Amino acid sequence: MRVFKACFRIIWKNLPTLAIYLAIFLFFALILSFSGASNQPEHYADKKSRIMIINEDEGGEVADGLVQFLSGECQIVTPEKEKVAQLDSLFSEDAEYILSIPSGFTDDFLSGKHSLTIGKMIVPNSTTGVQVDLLVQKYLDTFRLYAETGRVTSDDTAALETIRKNIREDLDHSTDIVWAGAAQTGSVQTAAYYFKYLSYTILSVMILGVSTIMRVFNKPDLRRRMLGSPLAATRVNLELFLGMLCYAVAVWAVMMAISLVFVGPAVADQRIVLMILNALVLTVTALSLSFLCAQFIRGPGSQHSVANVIALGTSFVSGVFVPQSLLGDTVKNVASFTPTYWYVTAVEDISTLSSFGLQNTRDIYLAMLIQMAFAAAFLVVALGLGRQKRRKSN
Amino acid sequence: MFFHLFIYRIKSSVRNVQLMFWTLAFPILLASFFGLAFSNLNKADAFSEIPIGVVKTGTFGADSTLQSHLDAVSSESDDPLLTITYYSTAEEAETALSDKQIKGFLVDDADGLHLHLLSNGLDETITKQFLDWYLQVSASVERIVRTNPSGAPAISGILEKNVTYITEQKTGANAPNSTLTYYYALIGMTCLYGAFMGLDQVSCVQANQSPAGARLNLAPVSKLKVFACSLCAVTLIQYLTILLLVAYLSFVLHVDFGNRIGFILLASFAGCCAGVSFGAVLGAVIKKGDGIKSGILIGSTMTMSFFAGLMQASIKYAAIKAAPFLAYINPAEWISDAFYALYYFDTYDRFFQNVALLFAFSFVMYLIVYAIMRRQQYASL
Amino acid sequence: MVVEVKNLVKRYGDLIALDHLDMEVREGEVFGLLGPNGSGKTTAINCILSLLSYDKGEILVFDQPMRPTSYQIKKDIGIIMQNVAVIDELTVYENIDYFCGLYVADKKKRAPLVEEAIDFVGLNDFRKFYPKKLSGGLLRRLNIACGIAHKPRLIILDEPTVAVDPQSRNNILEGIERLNKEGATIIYTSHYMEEVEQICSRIAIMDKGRIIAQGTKDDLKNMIRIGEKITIECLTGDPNDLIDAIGELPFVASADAREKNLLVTTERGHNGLSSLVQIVHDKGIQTGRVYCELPTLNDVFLEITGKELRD
Repeated sequence: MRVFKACFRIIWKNLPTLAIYLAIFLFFALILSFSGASNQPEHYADKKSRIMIINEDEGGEVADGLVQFLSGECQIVTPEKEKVAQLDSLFSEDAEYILSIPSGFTDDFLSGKHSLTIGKMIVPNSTTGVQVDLLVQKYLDTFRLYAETGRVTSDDTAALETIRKNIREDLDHSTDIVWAGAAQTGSVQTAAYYFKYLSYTILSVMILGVSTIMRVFNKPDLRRRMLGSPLAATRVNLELFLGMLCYAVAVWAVMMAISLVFVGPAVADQRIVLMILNALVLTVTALSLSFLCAQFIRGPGSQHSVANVIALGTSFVSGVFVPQSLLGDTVKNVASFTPTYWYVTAVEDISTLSSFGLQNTRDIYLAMLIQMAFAAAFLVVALGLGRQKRRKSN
Repeated sequence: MFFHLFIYRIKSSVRNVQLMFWTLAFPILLASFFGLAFSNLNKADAFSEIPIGVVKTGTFGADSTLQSHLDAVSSESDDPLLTITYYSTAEEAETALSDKQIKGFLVDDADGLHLHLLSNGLDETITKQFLDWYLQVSASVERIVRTNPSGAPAISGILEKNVTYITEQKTGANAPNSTLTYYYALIGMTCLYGAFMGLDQVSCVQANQSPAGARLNLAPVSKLKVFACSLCAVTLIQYLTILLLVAYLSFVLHVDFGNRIGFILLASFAGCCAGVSFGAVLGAVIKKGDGIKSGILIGSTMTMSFFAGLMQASIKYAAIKAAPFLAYINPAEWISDAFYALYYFDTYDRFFQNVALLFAFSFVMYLIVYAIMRRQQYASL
Repeated sequence: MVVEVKNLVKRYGDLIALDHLDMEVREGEVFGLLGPNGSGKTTAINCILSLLSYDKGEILVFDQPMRPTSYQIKKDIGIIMQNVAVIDELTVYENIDYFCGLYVADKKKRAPLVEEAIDFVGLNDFRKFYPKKLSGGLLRRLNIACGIAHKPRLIILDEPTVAVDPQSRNNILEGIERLNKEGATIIYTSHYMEEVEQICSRIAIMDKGRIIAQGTKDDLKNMIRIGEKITIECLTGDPNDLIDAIGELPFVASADAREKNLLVTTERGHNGLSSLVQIVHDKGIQTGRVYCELPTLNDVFLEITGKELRD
């Protein structure tokens, strides 16, 4: 176990560098999961559109009624005075819909002329737009129904008050919802984000770390000296791999310890256990991939290039940063040739899992198996390449 | 002499594989990954009809208003909202739901309308709102008939009359599109990778950083003059790579930059200057260790780009909201924000603020570099 | 005087790298700076070139004080560094042209100079090669070409032959002699005494930041007490028996026996080989090989510092 020991010593020597890599990428993953969890509307327990209302007709019964109604149905974003700030929040989707009610809207509305309209600014073709349009339409249609059938004018404050009260009651009617399947708990959702982004961290940290260590062993002279020793080359490589495996498990352990921050007591949840297992599988696969990459990496520069291209590239096409459901089919087909894709698929499946029978979990285990197959393939290629290189140099 | 130094600097920089990878190949590769990942994104944001099931049992059909309400928004209508599939039993609908063929299904029985849903998304919300609307109008009509019978005959006329309450207003110069944040952050990252060039130039003229630098210090030319020529050369190269990237984004990936080309060129140039000067400072401050230098460079530019929204667009806004000063200390943010301002706003205030910050940053960086490199003798080599 | 160094002191913290160094290099000579690793040769060179700051002393080059901005002086100096100082991304030709261009701005004047330099170091077949593709010896030659293309009056070579194969080394040494013949003054530092003995007309030996001896080869050898070293192989008998008898001879500095060999050192100016052999034969001992060695610079160094010059 000489090589194994040497490997350990080198890891120990490079610990600060490795720790910095781990810290930086974990930091990324943490920020991403916090912001992801709070920014992805699909996961709000009660999905509300974020709208900004600029009401220039304050005091008008119709306008105020509408604002009051929307406040109950949507999440109201603090109105911005400046147009630039309004546009900013629209671009960033901080507000998905900006609604501006012109002054005199109520009088115009009640006179039946409908010459003044409410202005809206939206992201083109967005679903939120449709939803808010529907709310406004509904409120104003009902208002019109009451106002026209009752012939109410704008100075009849009492009647208008009644209408507003009636509309509120009418619009309180809602369809009874029956949930099929299990509800998703918040902590599992946040954890799912963390685990998804973790694939980027795992790949970066593994490639950077393993290549840092392997660079020492791959120095031509050192390599020759080791090959000249009575140890079989395959044994040398296996011992190296074993040494790296310890590094991999340590990295995994740190990441899992951090995951407790999100999960807390839910760690006992079977879904979380599955995610942790899945992360271990990816870590081993990443190790194997890094071992392969290390065959090509010479300097510290190329080390960063390879790590960045592989980690960022696979993350983008596999649905780490952009949800898989939004990826095109071609992209998904391409991505299915990367282990990251299967990792992310497994995380997504796990997070919506409602029961743990084999029927439901089959796909998840399959995704993990595919990752292991990648791991085996990478390792075989890496060892094969090593052998071929040796022949060449002989 | 200027020309001589300039040409050779260009030659040696362009041939530097490591340098060209970071400043040209990597950004284009990453841009291509973005292109792949986002190819569907804008389409996904667009609204599409929602598949919904209806179980034709119990009291359904007895209430023809619901049927006509559904017809009015089904695929066959002018303004489709739902794609409706009819099922004869609840079990069939259940299977379709768990197979994700439909988003939910509707059962209308004795105790009212029930919507069966699997998850809680936008489509589900819209469907629910549509059904709510049906219930709500029914309630209003019922109330009017009860309290104000004289108004009742007018009801259907009022309901059928189509009034437009909302008009869409123009947003900025161009429509908002949050995927652009990724591409603009990518440009920010690429500009900052010009730091590799700046870094390289410092080590090429500093006697304590490279043998070639030592040789240069012995020539009858001012070191700072050589350095200035080198900087001109690499800033030009960096500028060309940025323009190449912008062209690639614009013509191959169809990323929208608006159409104020002159200002796009200016923003790119400001970004290049900031990137190269940043590298020069790193090179001048950190004396030894190429590995450490490039590690710090990549680490810091990645972090800056991260906060400018490279990995997740929402980070950019979340970060600035949480800590507004971030917008004033992050060059990657200035670059991406300059492009954003140019695309999105009619006005130039924001754009020029960013460009001015970039130039000021470069100026300060070069002042620091000058202070360090002015020394012509070394205490040790 | 081409170079004049007076009372030069350079400290690195507590370590004194140059300890009141005095040195002169005359027009047209090949001046050798010999010393073990770490003796301060490179530091001295870097100070002369104004690359390093120093704590005390005065340096004149071409009779003018040397400063970092003495561009007029720098124009006439060519340096070949210990480390290969070329740009990896430029070809052999481009490298020489680039560095030459720092001295000779006019392209027309430069082109023949570059050609000449390529010829001089024999890199004609490699002009389109990148430095990475060159072997160690060829790389050294390129390094030299970059330093001399502009025809300097003073050429400083700082250990140009470290880790170079014997063939390239000879090529380099011959080249230096040729440059000297063409009129250049040369400063040559090395820790290989054979090289220095071979090409230098005047030699300074450095140790611990000081010049401990300087002069021509013969001057230096004359400084020491030892003349020649004589070795006599005794085929029969014990050489130890001879030591006393031989030690009494007036010209013998020391006598010693090692295995079958009798080792004798003589005083300077004396040889007495024949009388030594006579004494051995008189004792009835059969002699095998008999040979004498002249003193080397190593002996000079050994006698002055008490340690070997070699690594």
